[in-house]
Amino acid sequence: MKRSHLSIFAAVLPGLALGSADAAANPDPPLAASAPSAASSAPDDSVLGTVQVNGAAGIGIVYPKLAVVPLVTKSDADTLAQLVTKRDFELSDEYDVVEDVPDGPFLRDTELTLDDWKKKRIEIVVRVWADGSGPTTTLCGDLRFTTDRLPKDDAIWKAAFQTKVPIGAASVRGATHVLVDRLFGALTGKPGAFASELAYSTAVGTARQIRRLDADGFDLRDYGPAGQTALLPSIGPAGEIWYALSENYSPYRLAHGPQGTPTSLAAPGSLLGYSFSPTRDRLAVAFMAGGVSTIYLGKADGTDLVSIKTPKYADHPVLGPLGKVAYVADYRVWIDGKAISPSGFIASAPTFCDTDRGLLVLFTVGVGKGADLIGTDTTGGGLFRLTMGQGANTWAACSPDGRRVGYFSTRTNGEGPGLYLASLRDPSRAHRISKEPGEGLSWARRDDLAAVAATP
Amino acid sequence: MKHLKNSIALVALGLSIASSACVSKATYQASVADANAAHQDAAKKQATIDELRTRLAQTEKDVQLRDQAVSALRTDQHNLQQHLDEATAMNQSLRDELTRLGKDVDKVLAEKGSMASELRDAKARLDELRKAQAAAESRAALFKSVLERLKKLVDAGDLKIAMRDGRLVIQLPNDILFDSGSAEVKPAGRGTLKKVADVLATIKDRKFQVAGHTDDVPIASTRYPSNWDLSTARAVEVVKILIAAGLRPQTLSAAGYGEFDPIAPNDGPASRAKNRRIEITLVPNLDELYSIPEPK
Repeated sequence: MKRSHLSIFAAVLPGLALGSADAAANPDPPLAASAPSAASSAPDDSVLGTVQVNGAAGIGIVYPKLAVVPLVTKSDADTLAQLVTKRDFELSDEYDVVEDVPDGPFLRDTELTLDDWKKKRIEIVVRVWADGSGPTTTLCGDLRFTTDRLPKDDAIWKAAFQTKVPIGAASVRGATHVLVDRLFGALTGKPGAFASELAYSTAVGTARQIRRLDADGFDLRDYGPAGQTALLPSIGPAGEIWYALSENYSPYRLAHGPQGTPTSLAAPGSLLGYSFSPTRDRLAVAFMAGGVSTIYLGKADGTDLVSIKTPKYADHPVLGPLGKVAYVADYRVWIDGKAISPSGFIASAPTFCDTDRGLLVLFTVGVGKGADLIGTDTTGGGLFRLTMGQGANTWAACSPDGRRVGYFSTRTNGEGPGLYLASLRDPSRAHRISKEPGEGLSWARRDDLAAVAATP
Repeated sequence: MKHLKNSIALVALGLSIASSACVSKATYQASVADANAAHQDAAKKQATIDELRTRLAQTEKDVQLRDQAVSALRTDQHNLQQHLDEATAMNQSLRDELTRLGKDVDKVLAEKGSMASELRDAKARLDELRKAQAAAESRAALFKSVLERLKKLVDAGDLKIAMRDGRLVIQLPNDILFDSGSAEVKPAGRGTLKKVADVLATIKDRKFQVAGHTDDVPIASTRYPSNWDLSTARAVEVVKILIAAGLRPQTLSAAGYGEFDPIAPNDGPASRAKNRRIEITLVPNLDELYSIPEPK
């Protein structure tokens, strides 16, 4: 029964992830007593809405056709920048990235002819290339629209937008994400979030290890101490990764950094969950002590913690914009003292999404033998469904630009189980970026690219 | 464990008996021996337990290391798969580009073949032009040289120097050389021809054609039944004088055109006088025969 406290994860209740070693060893946790009667009489999930999840033509959205100019080049940096750009745009699910482009060859300085691209019904033409070599390399990118009207037939088709990103100490791949963020900003009016990373924990034998990977699925790597139980990673103050850590079955505590440096919090018990505010200056924590869970709010350094009034067994606090606090209690998601998740469904793992549609809350609800992702506004209205009938889909995390959502799925059809990314606009076109199962997903901008992104 | 308990019980019993002195010494000693054996057995078993615990701890550590190794392999596999997918995409992209370039290469090769042919033609034309230019320059130099040397005769109106059909031609009016209807050169004419011969003699490796021309007034004398006869006889006569003046016979030829190669319309006395003439033409060298090729 070693690490038996981890068995709690077997339930489709990611919001109830943590507990003290002693409490978790109890096979009959008190939470079960207040579970809704979903198990005995399954709720009608039609109230959650439907979403087409065949992964085919989406939900009827017509995507603008976008092409990345295939430059003929001897430069590896050119080639890599083109591939990364193309993949980022594909993953965005905002464009139909096409391969059928006019006959080249296209060099860096080849003048593009508007009519050639228009004939292919391509609406946006993206060109990226690298100037220089090594640390002095500068990535360049520009955009053209075939809806442009040239003053004369023989006029040069000028770029509508141009940008340059000096690589500096970053990699070509990383700097390309920054470049694409800017191109995306020029296209949509709001920069993209491709220069970002996801973090989660995964089982390594009987331990739990923090993993990080870039938002395009590249560069998977371990973080934090090995052989222990590290859960719920997120990027906190100073751009460090924070997580809940248990060593040798000790109570969970908040730790950070690669060595698992502990943070002293003036709250009793074992850490159940925590969250930093989007500005990373506030902290919400949930502790379990004596069979009672309590949520505290305070400064990001763990001082000035004050408990807030919640229903029993409150867990998984999440700080959102405008000082909003979401948490799970009595199997429902609560915001500002009001349950917003649909009644009768076991809800868990809420997360805020600052989108063009306003501030949304995404969470998991148990449906039948699986679990689906649901979204609502902060009052529980405007309910919509992101997944449907494809295994257990859990641990939603929103991209920093609020356009996309990442989550773990156990689906056995399509691309199979793993970590998926999907756009909130059309979640049916989900892309798997990793086969690895996990929990406690978070998504944040890459601090190591902040300097590159800050260049004018 | 059961055996150990039995042993301890026996030892206790032995001690009890010994302390009460109710047993024989032999029995007592046997019991002590049993107790010692039991102690030794217990110690051995404890050692075994300790060893097993150590091995278990090591095994747990090995399992943990194995789990971490598996995790590392999983990470490597993921990253390799990502790069493989990317390399596959890159390969496809390159293949597409190769296909596109292949079409372009064929096109370029065809264009190159055509261009090479055009280049060869252009080079040939250039060579022709260079040769023609050299010939023209040579002719111009010769013209200038001859003109300078015969300047006095030209100024005196005894002869004209002209370029006709690209050839240098010295035109001598018949009125200076011959009387009407005669092929005999007048004394004044001989003097002019001598001066011309002196200049022509300085032009090396050249041949000269002497041609007689008449106007269109018919002649019907016994000696010259036609202008053909008269013009030819006059040319021959001039040739003889030029030979006598020092020109090599091998460089000379004579021809008569009659009235059929006029340089002016035979519509009056002045124009007819122009057509009555002797022309000494410098026969062009081969390299002067290059004409400027027409562009294709």
